[in-house]
Amino acid sequence: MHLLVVDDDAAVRASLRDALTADEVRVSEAAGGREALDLVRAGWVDVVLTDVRMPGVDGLELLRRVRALAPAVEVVLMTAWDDPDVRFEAARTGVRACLVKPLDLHILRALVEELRREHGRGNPFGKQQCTGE
Amino acid sequence: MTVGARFFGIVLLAAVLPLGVVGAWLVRDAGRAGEELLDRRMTAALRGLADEVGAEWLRARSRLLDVAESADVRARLRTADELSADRRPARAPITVTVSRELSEIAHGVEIRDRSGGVVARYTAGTAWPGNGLKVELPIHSATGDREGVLEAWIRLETLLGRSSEWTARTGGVLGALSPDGASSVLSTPFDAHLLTSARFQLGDEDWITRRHVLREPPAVLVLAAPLEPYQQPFREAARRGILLILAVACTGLVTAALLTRQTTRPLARLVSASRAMARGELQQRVPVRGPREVRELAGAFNAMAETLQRTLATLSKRQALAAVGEFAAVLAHEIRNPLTAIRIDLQRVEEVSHDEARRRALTDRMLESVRRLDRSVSGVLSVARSGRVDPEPIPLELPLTAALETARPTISAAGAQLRESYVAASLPDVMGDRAALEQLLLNLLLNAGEALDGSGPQLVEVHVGTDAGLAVIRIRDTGRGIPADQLELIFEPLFSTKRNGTGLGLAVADRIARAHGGEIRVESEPGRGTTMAVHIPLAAGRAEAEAALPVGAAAPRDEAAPRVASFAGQQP
Repeated sequence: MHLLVVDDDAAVRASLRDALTADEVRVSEAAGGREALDLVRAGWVDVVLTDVRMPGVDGLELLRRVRALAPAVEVVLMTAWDDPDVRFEAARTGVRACLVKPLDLHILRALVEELRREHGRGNPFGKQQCTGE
Repeated sequence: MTVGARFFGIVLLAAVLPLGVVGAWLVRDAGRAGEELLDRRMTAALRGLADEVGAEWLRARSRLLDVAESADVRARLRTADELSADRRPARAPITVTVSRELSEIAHGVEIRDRSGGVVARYTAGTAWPGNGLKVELPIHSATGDREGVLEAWIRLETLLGRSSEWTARTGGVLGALSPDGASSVLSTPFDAHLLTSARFQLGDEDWITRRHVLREPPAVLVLAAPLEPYQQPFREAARRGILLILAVACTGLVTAALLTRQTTRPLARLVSASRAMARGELQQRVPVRGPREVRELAGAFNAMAETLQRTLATLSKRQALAAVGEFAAVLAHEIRNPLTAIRIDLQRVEEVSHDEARRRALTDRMLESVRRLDRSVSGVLSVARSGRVDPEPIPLELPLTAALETARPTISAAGAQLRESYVAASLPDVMGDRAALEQLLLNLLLNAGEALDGSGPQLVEVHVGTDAGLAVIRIRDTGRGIPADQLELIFEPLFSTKRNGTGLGLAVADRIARAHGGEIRVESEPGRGTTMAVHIPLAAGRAEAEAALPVGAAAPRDEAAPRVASFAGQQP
């Protein structure tokens, strides 16, 4: 499974890449929404883990475009500011999960493992969930 | 169509046009009224004349019949009857002599018997017969039988002895026609034939005629008079009326124009005030003057402007509140991002506890994140600290140079040019806190650099001057500028237009300036750039020296153009 971490904060990207890289999980990084979209369009991203607040194409916009561009790709949002409006909009658009920073590694790994299993079964339509801290 | 034009139209339709119609009618009627008056006068004159002639004629008639009453004539009339009955030839007529009075009345007289034979005759002169008006009077006997007839050729002018008095009243000319109305029996100063028509033209004048038929003597009296003298006074009156109407109409139009102006001027003021408001000058108010409706409109406009201004002020507060939320989001982002990295790394430390190198790398990364967190907190704290300064006389050069040195690499890296110019050879001393002023100037310089949007000249200019005991440091950029509705907000803490701005830089700068007893004034033109003018009090000695100098000579040593220094090597 190919996981794409999208965040304008390099430290967050580095930590997540190190923490989530595993035997069957390949992790790539993108510093912004535009860069992420290019990778999604290329067709080898299975899961997008993105920050909400980013310059240019932000997380919500990225979610919308990914849904339109590649419906099979799951999108997980991370936000430092738990805004109900953002949650509502994200749920409406078809987000897989909303995580609030600072992220808990165990929850994150559990989610990734679930996604990996679904990916292995070739079932891209998992159950939607929004998880707060 | 403007209100003025409409008003003019209304006045034209409601006042000027009707008045014009009245004027035209007056002119037409003046002629008719003159004619009617003349007609009445002529009719009266003719009646008077007829009475006069009638009285004269009664006298003349008895004088004429007196001729037939003479014994000779009577005898001849009687014998004539007898002769005719006996079929004897008639005798030659006798010639009678008449009184002087009768000779003035008639040109000639003939008395005929019943068979038509002339029995007596009188002639006044050679002109007869053919002259004068022929009148036939029956001659009756004492028993009432008709014995004959008296034919007389009357001098009508004698009968009309006092006619001039009547004709003078009309200003006309009297004529007389034969009973059949075909020929004139009285001499007139013009062609008598004209009298046969009801109106005629003599020279340029219109004349009218009125006639009166006399039974005895059988004649038609004709009075002719020129119309002009009668119509003229009426025309004069009409002319005055029209002038009056014109005056009224003009007054109406002038009044309309004034009223219109009175109405439209406040409207024009309203229009310009509305335009000014549209430009963002919300303090616009219009005087409540003029007609009631206009007053109401002006009042409504003012109320609307008031409400708008209040609403926008409230809105600004709301924007500020929104900015608080925005700042909170920024702060959360700034703090929770490093926290995320730290937490994940911390949770992984255990996993890599056996690998010393990886453990150290994680720890180093966590420490770096902690330092980042500290910087964020320091930034927020700087706002709180910015209000506390400790001013002392210092050369402005110290904080300014330090700020310029710090800002230059950032501004240069953005591809912009930093320029300085000073009005005096040396920079003034100010009452300031060196560190705080450095912070203030640095914030403004960095802000100016960040405002540059990559289009047009990329320039940040610093200009130092003095003004009324204050050092004025102008920091101008050629950046995107600040929209007018945000000018009031930019110094609010937490307000930021930048994606990653914390909204602290300008807030800190403003607080520092105010803590120095100074201020920052902003002039901005969206799309053209912004100038921030920092006003800081000069150090006491310098300020007094400045105050002693006349206005306009603040920098006597440097009256020429400001020195402009460009820093070499700063071009992109």
